[in-house]
Formats: sequence, structure tokens, C-alpha cells
Amino acid sequence: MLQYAVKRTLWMFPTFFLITMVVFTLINLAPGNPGGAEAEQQGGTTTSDAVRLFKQQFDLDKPILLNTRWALTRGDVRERIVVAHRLEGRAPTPAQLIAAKDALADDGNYLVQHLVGLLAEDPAPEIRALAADYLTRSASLPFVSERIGDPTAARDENRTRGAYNEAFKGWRCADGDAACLSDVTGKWQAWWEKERPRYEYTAGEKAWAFLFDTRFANYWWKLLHLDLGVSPNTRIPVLDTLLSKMKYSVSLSLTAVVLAYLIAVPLGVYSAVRSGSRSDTVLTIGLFVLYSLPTFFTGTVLLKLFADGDPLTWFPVGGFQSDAKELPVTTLGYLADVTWHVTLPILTSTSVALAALSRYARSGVIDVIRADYIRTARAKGLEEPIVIVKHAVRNGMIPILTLLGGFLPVLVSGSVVIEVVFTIPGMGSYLVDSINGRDYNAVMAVLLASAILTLVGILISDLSYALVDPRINLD
Amino acid sequence: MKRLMQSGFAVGLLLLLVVIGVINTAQLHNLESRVGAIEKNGVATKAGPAVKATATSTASALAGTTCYSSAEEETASQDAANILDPLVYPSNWPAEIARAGTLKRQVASDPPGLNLLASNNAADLSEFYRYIGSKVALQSPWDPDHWYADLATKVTKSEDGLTYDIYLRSGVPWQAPAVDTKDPRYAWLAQPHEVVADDFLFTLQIIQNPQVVGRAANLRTYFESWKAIEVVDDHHFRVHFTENLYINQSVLLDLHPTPRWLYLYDEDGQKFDDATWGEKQNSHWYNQKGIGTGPFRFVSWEPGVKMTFERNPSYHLNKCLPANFDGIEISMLKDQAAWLRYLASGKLDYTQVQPAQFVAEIKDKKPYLGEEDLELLVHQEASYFYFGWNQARPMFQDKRVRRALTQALDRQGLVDGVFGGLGTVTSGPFDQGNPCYDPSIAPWPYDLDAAATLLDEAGWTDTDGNGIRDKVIDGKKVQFEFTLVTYGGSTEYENLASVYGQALQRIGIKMTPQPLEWAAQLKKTAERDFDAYSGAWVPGWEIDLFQLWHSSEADKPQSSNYVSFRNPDGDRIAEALRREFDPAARTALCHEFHALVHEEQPYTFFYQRKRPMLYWDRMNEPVISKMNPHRDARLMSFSSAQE
Repeated sequence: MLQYAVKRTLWMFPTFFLITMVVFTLINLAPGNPGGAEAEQQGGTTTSDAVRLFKQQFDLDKPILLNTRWALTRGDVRERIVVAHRLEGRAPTPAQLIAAKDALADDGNYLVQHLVGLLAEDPAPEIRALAADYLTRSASLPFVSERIGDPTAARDENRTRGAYNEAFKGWRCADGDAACLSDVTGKWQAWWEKERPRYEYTAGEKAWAFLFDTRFANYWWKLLHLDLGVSPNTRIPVLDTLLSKMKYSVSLSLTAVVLAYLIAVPLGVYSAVRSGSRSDTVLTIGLFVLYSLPTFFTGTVLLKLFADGDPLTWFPVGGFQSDAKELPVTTLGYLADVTWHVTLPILTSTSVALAALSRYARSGVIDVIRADYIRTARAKGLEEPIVIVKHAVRNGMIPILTLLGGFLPVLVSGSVVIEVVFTIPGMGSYLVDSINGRDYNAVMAVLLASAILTLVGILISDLSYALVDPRINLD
Repeated sequence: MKRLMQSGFAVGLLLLLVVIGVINTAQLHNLESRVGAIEKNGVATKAGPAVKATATSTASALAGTTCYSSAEEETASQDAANILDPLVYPSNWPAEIARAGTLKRQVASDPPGLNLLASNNAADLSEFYRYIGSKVALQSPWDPDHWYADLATKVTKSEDGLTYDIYLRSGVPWQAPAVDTKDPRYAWLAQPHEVVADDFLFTLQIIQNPQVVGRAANLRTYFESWKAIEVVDDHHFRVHFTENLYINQSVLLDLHPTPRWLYLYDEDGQKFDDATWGEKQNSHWYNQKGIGTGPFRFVSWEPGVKMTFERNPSYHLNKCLPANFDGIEISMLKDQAAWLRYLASGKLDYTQVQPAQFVAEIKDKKPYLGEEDLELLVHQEASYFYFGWNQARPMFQDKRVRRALTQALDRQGLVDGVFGGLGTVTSGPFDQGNPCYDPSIAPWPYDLDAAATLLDEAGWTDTDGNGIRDKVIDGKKVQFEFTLVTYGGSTEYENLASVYGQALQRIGIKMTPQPLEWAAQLKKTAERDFDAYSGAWVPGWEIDLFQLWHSSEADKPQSSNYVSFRNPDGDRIAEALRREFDPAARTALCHEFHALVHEEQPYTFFYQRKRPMLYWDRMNEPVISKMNPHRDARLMSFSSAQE
């Protein structure tokens, strides 16, 4: 048993790694950029310094999984410059042009050695001038994150880097200024003599870059430092937002699940005992109707009936609690206020879970009721309630208890529909907003939280089988 | 027996479908005729029998009068060189304004942050700064050709137009930051500060610093003609331009100050260093709060829930344009269906109504939402909707083809049937409320026969009898088939595309709608990888045609001339308009351009949307801002005292 638990726990790590890889790749491949949408819309500023710095800060300039940029040749870089600036009579399509410009901006430091080469040796003066221009950006060192490690050291490092980048900012020329170009070439040559080792990659550095200078590896590096990153859209640390949203989702889902169990189990047992009777049929039909109603519908109907004043205004029209001004000051008052607000949403989410759970409870008990030992219990003269409660229900509940593990992720991820209908700012609506805003870090954080809880939930389910049913031997 | 049952079932199903179809059609028809009736009765102003006996419908004694906030301002206005105008109240200024209570309104989502320059760009952000911020001058919301004295009392312009002198109002205090200055950590912010010329210089420095990402990056193009800001003294600065462009003046007058004493320091009061201060703006510790010199002061923001503002007692325009409320509360309500619910329950003072809701719940249903005290106001938005034809593709290069596509679109029918009558068909690239729009140019009528003739003339005929027109282009036979990229989140556009598709099919054109999510649509238009797309545009009050229509922009990928409109006359007008300052001459140029695009049809101009707004009658009838209808709560007011 212990061995099994340990083995399963260890397996969770590679599984988790694969989940992160799949999810990360998928969301990064979706068209659009976080926060970049506006910039793209506003007249071709994607390759401006601001967007380049923005992309650097959030690793958006890096390839997603594998980095082969060290394999670029001088010819590749020249080709990109030619395309991006429509030189040598090229007429690239807009998509090609954007791709070339983005590549010149994104590849950053990997371009340096080729740009230096082009600046020194290319026959076309306009290419040399552009090479110097691109060098002022490619050679600049990206800022390091001040969120990992010692912030003072990081700040000092960034100050040094800022000054370093500032130094060669002006080493470029207007078109066709030959004197300027030779002067600038000299400056870059001198710089190159000093910096050469940094940009001529050894086999080891190439291998390292191939695997680790990527978005995904950087994400994991931060994850290992327990840093979920900063939202590129709001610039707020994702963890802070996550925690502030969690209170809404957890309190809603937890109550709903507990309530669903409390109602579903007695209902299921009742149905099982009266299996085939008219009341069982009515209950079954009723629950299936409830189960087939979509939550947005149930929610809206409940709001209409009990909040809109059509006919009743017992409950508020939305939200999690009253305005700060009207909020009761006592703990009890606060709880009452929240309860008043969340009654309808909880009813809505309970209604769905209820139907499924009670069906499981019913079939579990029916299976058991036909077992030999129940007949034995009855035969030895036990009263019917004791037979049911002590013998049948206890054993019949095994499958439904193990389902509990499956509810864990819901606690965190919340329910999008219910949160939107009842205007509760929980995790569900946060996830949707983040997907729409291409807020990769936020999407990852929410999905990872549910992934972990799913994994843990499944593990708990499996282990609890073995714990409650001695016939199951996991070893 | 089994067969009989099967066929019986099939027949039954068919009948059911037919019945559903008939009901649907009947409903649609009913709806269209009702919308038509409403249109005729003029929704454009106030809908329903306007029986408001309160003082709100009578204009104030202030209407048309001039107001000076200070003696300094009045003296400055005597200077003939001053390009600022004194404030004049509009004719519909409410008679009675109870300057009390809290205004409650909603927005759909949180802004990305509250730093006007470093947060990501969002329309919502400028709304909040209308409450907490103020600028060099105040563009009159009701008469946008006039700029009122705001932080500056006087602005003068040199003969050559390359230099502007700005004289600031003295003694304007910055609002206190929304922190607890009793906390020793924020003790460094306890000092009061006055708005000085250097605060404007700091704004420019932020915009020009490439390290600042957010909104500043998008603004940079507007500041390309800015050479420098020269601070003469604390209350006088001078702006030097490289070129005398029309747009310079409004960009300058619209400039807001940024408190250097706040944004150049970290949370502990440590100054950022020169090399990285720009980068620090992007995630500045104060970015989730706002600061300014406007009629309201930022109090708090709980993301996803609410943002609150309170009255600024030391607002410098308190004499003429004081805050109408003790405070403003803006709730974030993502589900637009909830807006009406919140309004009816009294949690909002006014709200906008979506077209579908308007048709289903509001139109012809007074009392609205069953409440006697709710009033309806329908007003037109300043933006227009259109279809863009990719003129880099051979299919759309002939203007006769583009006009045929316009005439195949039943614009009025769609506005009535699909958009609940909430719109006016438009014929050009300007807001109909702007003098640039030439009302004498009528939109091309919906006429499939005329469209077919135009296509015939352009050489598109159905030579192979497959029902689709074709033409030999560059030696290759091309079928007239294209894809229309539309915004994916809208059922209205789904309906529209199917109606349009059917009309096009009747004249032998096959159109396939492609609903796309916003980000995906942006990528397609930026890469010019589309045949046609549906879009919307806010032309703004000061017209500059360059970005959208100049041929040089067509060559820049990602710039907004997505449709590759290249026209020598268009270029000439766009260039002339940039340097024309005379209002009459500008209007003439605009009208010339309007006529040109009407003829050329680079876009099929579709319609300008109308927005219904419901408000409680404890409010005065809203004074609608011409530039930002319903996004300017400064102009809202209560008619009687609130709790």
C-alpha cells in the first residue's frame, strides 16, 4: 500500500511536467500576443523598442519549446534584413515582411556575431548601415527579473546593464553617410574584440540554449522558484490575483459539493430501497430533468424568480457580498450577508452535482442490497432500517466517496457560467478573461492549480478505494 | 407496420419544422415592421411619450452663459492671442443640479491598470481619467471645436506655428495619493504638491522613453513632430515642434501632467536611476491606483468588483464645473444581461442596453422593466461600422465591383432587422455629428439589379453556367468567391453574414463568412491575409486621414490601411488636411474626401450605432458628450437631493 502510494506520487511529477508542456505549448501557439494586440493595431509598432522590451520581459521573444537560433547563418540574417526592408527589389508579402521584422527583433543576442560580420564585410552599404542599426538593439542586454533571488543584486545588475546598453545606442548612421559608417564600424569592431567570447557559442552553450533558452524552460525556472510570474496585461503578480479570487470560488464550490452530498446520499438510498416504485420513478425523472438543465438557464430562472421581483425579491441580483458601506461589522452578520448573496449560485451548482451523485448512490446501494450478506442480515432477524443503514449504506457508499477526489479541481477552477451569471469575480471568470487577453501566466497558473488538484484527487480516489474496501489490493 | 411508423414519424418531424419555420419568419417580420415604425417616430431623440413634469426638461438659466473659474482666467481670456475659449454652458444644461449623492454606473471589465501612460491601452482607462484627471485645456464635450481653460489659462501660438507658449493656472494642488500617509512607509508622500510645468515635461519624457511599454508606445506616433518642451518657469512652458501640423494643437491641449514626485520613486521613496526609470514605470507600485487634478479623487479599486471615486474639494474648476456627485462608484459587471437587473434593483443609476435586450425587453415596453421611474434615451455613437475590401487582391481592384458589393448589402434592412433599428446607415468615414461628414451624400441604395449590371460592366459574368460569376484575370479563370472575416463573438454578425451571403448568391457571388476571435482577426488584417473583413472605427473629432487612407500606410504592414487604398487624390487631400487650419477649408477638404470614397467604395460603409440608455428619473436628462457618449459621467447629474 505504502509502496503503491509512493510510486503513484512519484509518477505525478512526470505527468505534471507533461501537462505543463502540452498546456503551455497550446496557449502559446494561439494567435495573438498578451497586451500586444493594441500595439499591433496602432500602426506597425511591433518592432519598436517598447514592444521588443515588453517581449523580452515576458520571454515572448523566445521560441516556445526548442531553441535553434544558434544555428543561424550570416546568410539567414542578411536575407531577413533584405526582406524586412524590401531591398534588392524584393516584394515580400506583408506576412513575410512581418515575420522577418519579428525575427530580427526576437532573435536578439543570437544575431550579434552575424550582424558584426555583415557590418564589417557586406558589399552593400545600406545593409551595413542596417546591420549597425540592428546591432544597437541586438547587442543590448535584457534586464533580469527582480522577482527571483536578491532584489538589490538584481537591481544593481539592471543598472549596470542599462548603462552598458546606453553606451552604444548612438552607434548607427543615417542612410548613405559613408564617413559615419566607417566610424561606427570601427567602434563596433573594438567592442566586438572585447565581447567576442560571449557571442561565439561552444557546443555546450548551443546544447544549453537548445533546451533551456526557451519560453518553456524559463517558465519552469520561475516555477521552481515558486514564482507564477507577473501578468503581462495588468503587471500584477499572478499569485496575488489568484489568491484574491480563490476565496470566492472555494467558498462557493465547497459549499455546493458538501450540500450536494448531504442531499444526494439520502435521496439515492431512498430510491434504491424503493427501487422500481412510483416514488423512485418520479424522483429519477425529476433529477434527470434537473441534470439536463444547463446552469446558465437554472441560474437565470432563479434570478428572475427570486431576485428580479418577478415575483420575489428575496435575494440580491448578484455579487458575493454587500457594499462595504452596508456590510455588517460583526462576523456573524458578515456570514449572514455572504450566505444571503451566495444562496442562489449555490443552489444552481448543487442542482447539477445532486443528480449525478444521487444516481451513483442509488446504484451503489442497489448493488449491495442484492448481496448475500444483506440477505443473511435480514435472515438473522435484524430490523430493516439497521440492515439498510449499517450494512447496505456503508458498503454502498464506497463508489460515491471515491468520487469526492474528482471534485477537488472544481474547488479551485470554479464555474465560469455561474460566476458570470451571478457576477462573482472568481477563478472561472478570471480564467476566461485571461484566455481572451492572452495572459499566458494567468492561464497557466489557473490550469496548473487544477492540474495538481486533479492529480491529487485521482490519487486520493485510488487510495481511498483500498482503504475502505479490503478486497482491493493495490500492491 | 414498422415502416408506417417510421414514415409517420418523418412526416411529423417535417410538419414540426415547417411550423417552427413559419413562426420564426412571422416573428422576424413582425419585429422588422415594429422597428420600422419606431424609426419613423424618431427614436433618435427621446423615445416614448415624454411626460416628465420635473424641472429637468427646462433648460437652466446658465444655458449659453460664460463662466470664469478665477480672475486670473478672466484676465487671460482678454488676451487676443489666447487660443483658449471661455467656458460656455450648453443650451440643455440642467436647471437644477443636486450636487450630492453617489453616482453608480458599470463597466464590463477591469482596466489593465490605472497608469495613464504605462498601463496597457484600453478605452476604459481614459474614462477614469476624465474623472480624476485634467489637462492643458478642456475640450468641450458638447462643442468639441472649443477648448476651455483648464490647467492652463492661456495658450499662445507663434506666427510660424512651430512654438506654443503655455501659461499654467497657479496654485493647482495635486490630489493626495491613495495611501495612508500615517504609515511610516508612505510618510515621504505626506507633502502636498502643486502642478508645475515640469510635470508636463515628465509626461513627454515618459512618452518618448522607449522602455515604457503600455499606452505610451501607442501615443508615440502622435508626438513625432514634438521637438522639445522648454520649461520657462514653474507656471510657463514652451513646446517646440518640427512641423506645423494641424494635429499638434489638439495633442498639446490634450496633454495631461504626470507627477514626477510620485512616479519617479519606488514604494519606499527611493528614486529610480537614470538607466532604468522608464522600465520601472511598467510595473510601478502605484499603477493600480490613480492620481490627478480632476473633479474626483481616486479612492479604491477591487478588481472584478468595483472602483470608487470621491469629490475633489480643491478642484480648480469648482466654480464653473464642480463635481456633480459626492462620489462615483463603477461596478465591473462582465455579464451584460446583469446590467438591466442591477439597474432595476437600484444598484445602478443608469446603464446602456444591448440591441438584443432592447428588442426583447425595452422597445415599446414602457414602463421599462416594469418601473415607472425609468427613462429611455437613445443617442448615436461616434464610431462607424464597415466592410473593408482588400484592394491588393485583383478581385476587388475595380471600383465598380466594390460598389456592386455595397449595393448588394441591404443596410437599412439589416439595421432594422438584425440590430433592432439601433443605427443610421452611413456613407462616409466620419462621424455624422462632425462637420466633416457631408450629409448631402446619400448612401448607395440597396439594388441587386444595379449591382448585377455593375458586375457585368466590370467583366464578371457566369461563362460556365455554374451560378457563380467568373472572369479571366492574368490568363487564369477566377470564380467570384471570397471569404468575409467577421467578429466571432456576435450573433448579430452571424445573422448579417447569412443575409448578405444570400443576397450575393442571387447576383452570382459566393461569400463564405469566417467568424474569428478578435486576436485572430487582428493578425489576419495586419498581415493583409484576407479578402474582406468587417470592422469598426472611431474617427475622433480632429480628423487626420493619414493613418487609414494614405497610400504610404498601405505599404507598412500592421498599419491601419488594411485594405491597401491607394488613390492620388486621396493622398493629396490627406496631406493637405494635415496642414490646413482654416475650419471652412478643412470642411471642404473633408467633403471632397467623403465624395471620393463614396465613389471609390474602398469600404462599404455600413452604419453608425445608436445606444439606448436607461436612467432613473431622479437624474437629469443626460447631457451627451459628442466625443464619448455614455462614457462621461461628469455630465450626469441628479435633479434632487439623494440619500
